[in-house]
Amino acid sequence: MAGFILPEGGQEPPSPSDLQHAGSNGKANGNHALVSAVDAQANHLKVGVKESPKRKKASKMAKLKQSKLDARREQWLSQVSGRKSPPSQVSSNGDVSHPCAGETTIDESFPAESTTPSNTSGNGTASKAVSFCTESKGHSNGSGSDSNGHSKDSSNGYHHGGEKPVLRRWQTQPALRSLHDEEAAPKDAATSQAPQQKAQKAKMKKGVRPQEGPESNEGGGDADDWEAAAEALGVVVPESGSETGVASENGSHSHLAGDESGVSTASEGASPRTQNGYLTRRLAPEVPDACARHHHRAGAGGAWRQDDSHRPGTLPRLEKFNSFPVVPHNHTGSMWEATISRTMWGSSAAPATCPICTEELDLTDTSFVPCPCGFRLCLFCHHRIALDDGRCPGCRQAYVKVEKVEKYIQVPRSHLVRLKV
Amino acid sequence: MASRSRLFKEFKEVQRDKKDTDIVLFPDESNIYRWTAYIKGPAETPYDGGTFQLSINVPENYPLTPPVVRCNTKIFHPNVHFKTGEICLDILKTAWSPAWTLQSVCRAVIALLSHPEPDSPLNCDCGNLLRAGDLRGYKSMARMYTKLAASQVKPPSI
Repeated sequence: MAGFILPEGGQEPPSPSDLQHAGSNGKANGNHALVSAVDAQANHLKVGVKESPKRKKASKMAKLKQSKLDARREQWLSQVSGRKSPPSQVSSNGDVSHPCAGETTIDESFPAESTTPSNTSGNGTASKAVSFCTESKGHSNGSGSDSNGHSKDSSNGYHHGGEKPVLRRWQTQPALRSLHDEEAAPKDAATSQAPQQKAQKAKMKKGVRPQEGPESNEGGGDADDWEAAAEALGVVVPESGSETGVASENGSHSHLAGDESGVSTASEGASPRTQNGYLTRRLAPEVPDACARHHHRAGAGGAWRQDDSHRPGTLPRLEKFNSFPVVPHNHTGSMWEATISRTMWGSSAAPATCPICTEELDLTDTSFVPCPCGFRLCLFCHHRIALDDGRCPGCRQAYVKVEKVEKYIQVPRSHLVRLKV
Repeated sequence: MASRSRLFKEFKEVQRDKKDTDIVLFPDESNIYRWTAYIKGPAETPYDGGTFQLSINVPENYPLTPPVVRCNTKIFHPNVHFKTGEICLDILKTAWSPAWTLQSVCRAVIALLSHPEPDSPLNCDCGNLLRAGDLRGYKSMARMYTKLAASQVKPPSI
């Protein structure tokens, strides 16, 4: 969740305030939701540190994220200012070499909660609330294999945990998101995820640009599955990890403040997707590998549709290509365009076929107006005429010679060789 | 091959466009490069009332080179050879443009009948009549030959 902000914000190292916040949350109350949120955050912190050098992100995105970061910081300062937290420990999370350490610290910060601080080896406290169990498992997995560590939200993390840890992040994540969408499981006992879910929704309402995720990830080393990522985003969850992260933290804040009636309760009520779906998915063995997940995703969403409002702006807009400019710029210069409309040939509407050879005019031929009289013909015929007669069939005026170009083309061989190198 | 497809296209156009009753143009049944045209002598000229058969030989690299047009019907005209039927028309020689079609060539021939060019005669007798200003002599001669040779020519009903 927070992972998206932090790694994106990459230039900005995981802010201590974040970490403090995480730690304080953990200490303060044993709410499972909080735990999960913090865990996910830590997880992402770690990943962010790991991947930040790799990433080059667009400055726009950077600004956006930084503004979000600032907003979060303000929130924390206002709410958690007094608390003391183990920031040093959490900061150690950032270290890539010891990913598990961070988790252990966090887990330890919730001793009251059932979470056993068994750290790296699957924390999985099955005895605890289901959601928590999954969460801890995801954590252990993330720590074990870095690739899984960077999941968008904690729920995704669980999935990673449940399945192959070796899968690359971008192969797994979109699929997970789709899963997340499809399995709108009824709310069950594990309401701890509710704040996150709700926050997610809220962010969606905010109309946050959904392509944050894929863009940022393109920069990463895992960009091999770019299409998969884009497709996955076609699925309803347009949330980037950062948003969810913030939201979940907000929810946790409300918990801290003790006003259960606020965001948290509402969110619990509102979120139809609970941990149940994830759990079952995770536990079920029928989703063993990436192939299955891909299949799942294809069934769920498929590629972007042109009219999809969440379609990333970075993807090409086909209508642009289809609507070729009506008045194309011809090679020979647009100065003739004005005169053409007045001429007898009236080439404003280009003929469909070459008047000389009756072959169909392709796009190049259509935009080819070799003579100011506006007589259009295909390039082949023009070439033949230029070689033979040299006069426009329409007006019988000599074509403009293009021999200069031929001279330019004749480059000494040595130059060519140099260019090759 | 470009000439063949182009000729086929022209054939289609000719078949579709029957409005021009002055010109009947059709290719040889077995050879798309050999065409026959029947043109009506324009009104208010000594050729009025006559129908003149033209034979058109289309070269391989048509339309880059002009077709060879001959008048099979005897005609008294300064720009048509009285014996061979060769037509002296600039657009069939130097002024040819690939944008022209066989039908437009026929139209050009009709226009030539209306506007003889005595300065570049193939029929020197006719040219001399015109250059001498003997318009009456020219007209009577042309009308006579039209009646003699061209009045009986009928285009095949297509």
